[in-house]
Amino acid sequence: MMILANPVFLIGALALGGMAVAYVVNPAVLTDPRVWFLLLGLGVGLFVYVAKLKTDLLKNTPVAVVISLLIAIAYFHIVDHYLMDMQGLDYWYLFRK
Amino acid sequence: MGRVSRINRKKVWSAVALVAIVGLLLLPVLVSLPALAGGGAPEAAAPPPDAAKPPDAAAGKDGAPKVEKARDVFYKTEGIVSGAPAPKTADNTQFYPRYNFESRVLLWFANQQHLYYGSFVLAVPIFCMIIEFMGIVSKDKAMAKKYDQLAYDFIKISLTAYSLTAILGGILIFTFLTLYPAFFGYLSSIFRPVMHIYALLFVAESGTIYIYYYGWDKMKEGLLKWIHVSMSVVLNVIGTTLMMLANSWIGFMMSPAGVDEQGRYLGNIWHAIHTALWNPLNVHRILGNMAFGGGVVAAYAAYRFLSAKTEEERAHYDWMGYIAMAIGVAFLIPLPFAGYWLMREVYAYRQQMGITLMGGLLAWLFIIQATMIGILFLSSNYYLWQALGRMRGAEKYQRYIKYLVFVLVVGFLIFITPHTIVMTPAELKAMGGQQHPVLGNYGVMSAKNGGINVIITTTVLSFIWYQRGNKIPTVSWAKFGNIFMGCFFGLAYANIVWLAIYGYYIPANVRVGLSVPQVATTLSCLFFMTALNLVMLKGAKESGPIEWGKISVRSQYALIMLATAFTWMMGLMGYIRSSVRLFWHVNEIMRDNSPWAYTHTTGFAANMISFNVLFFWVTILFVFWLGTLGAKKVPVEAKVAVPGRAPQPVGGH
Amino acid sequence: MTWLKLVEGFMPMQMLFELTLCVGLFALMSYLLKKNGLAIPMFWQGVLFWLFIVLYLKYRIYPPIPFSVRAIYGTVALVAVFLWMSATEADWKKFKQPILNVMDAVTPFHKHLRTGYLVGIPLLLWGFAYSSLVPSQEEPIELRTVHPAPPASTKVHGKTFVLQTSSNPYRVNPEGKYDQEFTNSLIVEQSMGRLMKPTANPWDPKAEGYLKYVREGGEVFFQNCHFCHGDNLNGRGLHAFAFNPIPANFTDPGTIAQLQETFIFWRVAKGGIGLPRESFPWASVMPPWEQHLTTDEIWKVVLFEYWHTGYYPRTWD
Repeated sequence: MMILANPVFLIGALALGGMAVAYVVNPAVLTDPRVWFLLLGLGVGLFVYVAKLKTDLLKNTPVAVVISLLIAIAYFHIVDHYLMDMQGLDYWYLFRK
Repeated sequence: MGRVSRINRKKVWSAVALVAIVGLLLLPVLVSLPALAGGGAPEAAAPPPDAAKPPDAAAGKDGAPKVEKARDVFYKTEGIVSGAPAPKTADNTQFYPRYNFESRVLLWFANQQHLYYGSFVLAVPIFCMIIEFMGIVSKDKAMAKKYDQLAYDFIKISLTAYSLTAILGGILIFTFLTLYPAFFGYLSSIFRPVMHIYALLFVAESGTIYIYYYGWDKMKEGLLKWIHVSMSVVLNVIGTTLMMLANSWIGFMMSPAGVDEQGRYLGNIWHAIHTALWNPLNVHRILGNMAFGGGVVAAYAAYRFLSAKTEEERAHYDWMGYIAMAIGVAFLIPLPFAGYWLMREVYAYRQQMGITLMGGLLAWLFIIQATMIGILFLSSNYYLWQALGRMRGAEKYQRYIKYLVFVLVVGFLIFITPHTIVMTPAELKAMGGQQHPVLGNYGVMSAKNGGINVIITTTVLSFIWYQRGNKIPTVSWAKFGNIFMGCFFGLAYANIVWLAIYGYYIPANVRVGLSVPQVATTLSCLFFMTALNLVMLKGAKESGPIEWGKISVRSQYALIMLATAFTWMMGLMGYIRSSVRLFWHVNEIMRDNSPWAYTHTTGFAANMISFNVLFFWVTILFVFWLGTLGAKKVPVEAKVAVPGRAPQPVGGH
Repeated sequence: MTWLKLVEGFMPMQMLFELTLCVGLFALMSYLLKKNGLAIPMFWQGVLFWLFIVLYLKYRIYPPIPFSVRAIYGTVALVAVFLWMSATEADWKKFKQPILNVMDAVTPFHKHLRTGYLVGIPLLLWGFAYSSLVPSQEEPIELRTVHPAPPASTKVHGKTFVLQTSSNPYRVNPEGKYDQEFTNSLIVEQSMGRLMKPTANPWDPKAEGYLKYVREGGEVFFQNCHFCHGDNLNGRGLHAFAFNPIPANFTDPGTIAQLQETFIFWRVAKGGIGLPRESFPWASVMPPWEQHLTTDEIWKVVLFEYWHTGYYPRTWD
């Protein structure tokens, strides 16, 4: 319960949750790579914040999981999007239909 | 003061001498370059007098030689015809002189053996270069000596193999000249200047390798050592160029360019060299040679390990096998991607060629190839797991090996599921079609890409476990790092599997692109995770030393398996690449009209490959044995440097 | 196993998922048993797991998997069990122990077992040898190349079609331009029992362009092709089972879904008789349809086949 009150965890979890909701409700939002850069930036930002100012949170499992997931999910989406884009193809083919 | 300057002067002079030697060695090539421009392509640089006349003037006068122009089959550029058309052969002894035996099989054998040895002697100097360099930069004196000795051992083995390569090359040329004179005549008429440069480069290569080998002891200190190691760079540049020139011939045979439809040479040698498949072949072959060389050396070390009498020997050869395997696998990992690139270029060049390879006549060979690739990765993973056994504190990972086995094997099974299933007609009826509704989906590219990427990612994971086997990270963010690694790997697997499934729901032209992000995912794991791991392990606490020599014998059999699989696969891939031309000597230009223009049965090809592999291993064992004869005189200083607690090799261990 | 269905459309993933689930369950079971002092010996863990995989492949998957593939899978599973058992020195010792016990005849029981093996294994080998030598009425296995590499071009009704560059003249958008994107959006839903899109009914009298051509292709299909290829295009027509092998099943993801439209055009036009050398033994009775249909009709029927199965023709870019 304690962890829910932690702002770092809350922000991260909300971002992840928001992404999940967007996938169900309106995936069109997610087809914009800027969204993923935003999430990646958020993840990295949270990590830097934790690493510099809240070092005790580094050993906090839920916080670590949330930040890791944010970075990794956003990273792989960016990889998928841009590497398809570079070949002139649309990664989001099915989602736009 | 005076003495120092004398030494310096000595160094300067030796540097000058080295430059002079290298310059002299390369001189023939430089000299031949203008000849290439002038003689090989007369109209390009200095047109002969008759060709210099403007075409209309020549056409105006009767009897004057006409300049005939034709279109390049691949580049579609206009060029002046400057060669005879490809000979139209017939099945007789004029075009195909023969013994009472299948000429093609003789040629196959000669070619394959030359290729095995060629790849070996091209790969080993690259190892030497890497290992010698590692020795130079190694701060640990004992370790540096060990590396240096290892590099020296390598080059010693390759020197005997080198002369064998040359002999086999001679045999190959004679086989070509005597059994396929028409074809070889045509090929050499086009590649005349290239073949000369090739021969001259071979001279340069020999010179360099001898200086490199015999100068080892003389050049082991200070600047001279650096010169020595840079000489290995020169050696490898020459060697790689040699290979690329040889590749241009097979590239030309598969995807001809620089000639017109009748096979007449159009004067641009660069077009004939730089064909559609040349560069993919180059990349694929360099990587393949390295992996193969690593496998052979690892097998050598395994053989010595198994026959070792003392603890020291076992420790040394355990270490040597590990280094060779690591280099081999490092080049094995990008190999499938190079293969996909080659395949894509083949499809882009001729769709039929691609279908013949992947979906048609040769599809079954690709299933065998997939099986071999799987075996390679399984064996290297197995080796890494076994290697965990020589570290104390690795138990924490050993417990989970079974899950890695499961993931690997599932990826492997999907990777080898045949697209065309062998079945009895009764089974066919029971199934209701050529494709199985469940397994049929594993038989297509989308699933197979997923399978191989899962395998490679798992190999990366095994390697990371191995790296951390006896270490406990002490950095402040260790826990976060572990969790991040876990998430990253988990999502990488998810992404690979997702892309594989996604491929079924989108049209083929979008689907083929999915392999690129898939590969990128795997490579991300490879680069980011190993890098992250290295950073995390900085200053890590060791839970126990690596006990070299304490590895299980099963691991050594895995190394031998690895080497055999490499050799077998190389033979197989060479056969596939060559037989995809079907009944052409030069694809769509020169037809093979010999009685052996048909494609062999899979069984015959497999037997032939096995024979080649066996022959290679028997002869290379002889080479190894020669190596041990000389080694007995070498002082045992190498042994001293191999204590139970060996320092870590530079590039992680 | 029929009571637990593999769901069409999700089968390949379902199989993997089931296997993963089973492995997880086994790990859990093994853990619980061990905790309660009832650990299954290493050796038997391996044997049981391998048997499970073999039986799963034989009885769980329907339609039955051909033996050749099961043999590959079984062998690989055996290798996997070996990798698992020998991954660490301790496990390997535990795994070997029962085998060594029998070989060393450590107890009278083991001695009897050893004698049993001494008799049993040669008998088993004899059985294999016998069954492989006994004559059978089974047709031999053929490695048939079903989709051979096509020629670069084909000549139909005096016109040469280059396979790599030709396109179906009826795969057009309302402006009459070749348009795969447009036509792909009008095909039937593949995963939903091949339902037509409500807005794309070729039998609507007002249907124009692509949809009209699909209807015309359908007419050609039902007048000529469906006797063998079936009215659901699944290779099970009236006459299908008179042939060996049975006609191509277009709903199978390995047939037209894998091929270019021009490839289908070539095969329809030239039939079994026009198969290249590679397709030995040319086991196809398909007539060369160029003798019965016009070029336009062939293109239309190809169009219909893709429309009806919900597949896209393969493209290369």
